[in-house]
Amino acid sequence: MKLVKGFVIKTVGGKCVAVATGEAVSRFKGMIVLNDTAEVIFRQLMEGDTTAEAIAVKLTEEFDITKEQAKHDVDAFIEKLSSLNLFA
Amino acid sequence: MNIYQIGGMTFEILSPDDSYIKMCHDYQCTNPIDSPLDFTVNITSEDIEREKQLYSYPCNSAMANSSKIYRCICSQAIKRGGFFLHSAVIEYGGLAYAFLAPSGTGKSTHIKLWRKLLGKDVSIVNGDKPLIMPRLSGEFYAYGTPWSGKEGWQRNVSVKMGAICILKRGETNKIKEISTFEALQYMLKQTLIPDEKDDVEKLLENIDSFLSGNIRCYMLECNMELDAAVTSFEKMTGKDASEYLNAVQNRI
Repeated sequence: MKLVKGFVIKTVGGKCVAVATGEAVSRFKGMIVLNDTAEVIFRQLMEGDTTAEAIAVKLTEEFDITKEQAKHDVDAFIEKLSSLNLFA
Repeated sequence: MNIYQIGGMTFEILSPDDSYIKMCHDYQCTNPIDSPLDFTVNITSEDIEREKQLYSYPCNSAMANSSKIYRCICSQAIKRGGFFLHSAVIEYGGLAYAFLAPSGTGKSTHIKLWRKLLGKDVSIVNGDKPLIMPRLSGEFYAYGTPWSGKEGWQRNVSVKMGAICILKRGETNKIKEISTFEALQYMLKQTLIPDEKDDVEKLLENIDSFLSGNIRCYMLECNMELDAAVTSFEKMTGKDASEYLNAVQNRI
């Protein structure tokens, strides 16, 4: 599972956003607002080829949540990104 | 020497197509420059050909050249803490008010209504492509540029930013204050997103710094009646429009 290259993550106006640049612009124009959980998931995806399982483990390390809850959050967010055609 | 001063930046333009000289006339430095140039905009014939390919419609060399020059200036503006904002900016009471909307929404129409309502108390800064740049004080100013849309509304001035307003068409006239974060989403659609990641990060930093200053943001739904200008004027400036309205009615 590989996120399309070219996203930049930044805190603007007090919120964390992902903005498409370069290659990613052809797939998506504008920005995605990320909450704390989504930011961790998105950063993991930006680092390179990974799995939902690996990201869920990372989430349980960062936040006080169960593996099931983490897996559920990751799946839901990945589905959202898929629907935006953001995977290479 | 083709030295220009735009957005507080001093630079030379070198290009095989000289049609920009007339267009940029108001911004040309007539006196000798005693400080070094900030940068040089160096356009080649290849740049002009590449720029033409970016357009979905036929684009001649003069247009492509002008567009490429502005793109270079915008990227320099980002390096200096500012950014380009596709908007119509007017000056009232010493402050600049920027109206943002996609082309064709009615920015120019709304500006004409402000002019009708406020007469000589309002003046144009730029009708289409101003630069928003920080001064040493940290305050942001709207700068006029030669790139000013089909009406050619522009003045070589800089005015301290007062407020920005997202403009939408509506049946009736309504305005509300919105959060800076909400405004950001519209601003990103009305600026040039650079290709390079580092430049995008800098752009986002600049916009963040702009929005964390004393800038108020509004969302206006408006029609093409004079009341649209009354609605936005009163909310954005905090002033009463009734005297202006009486004056308009007396003129009619």
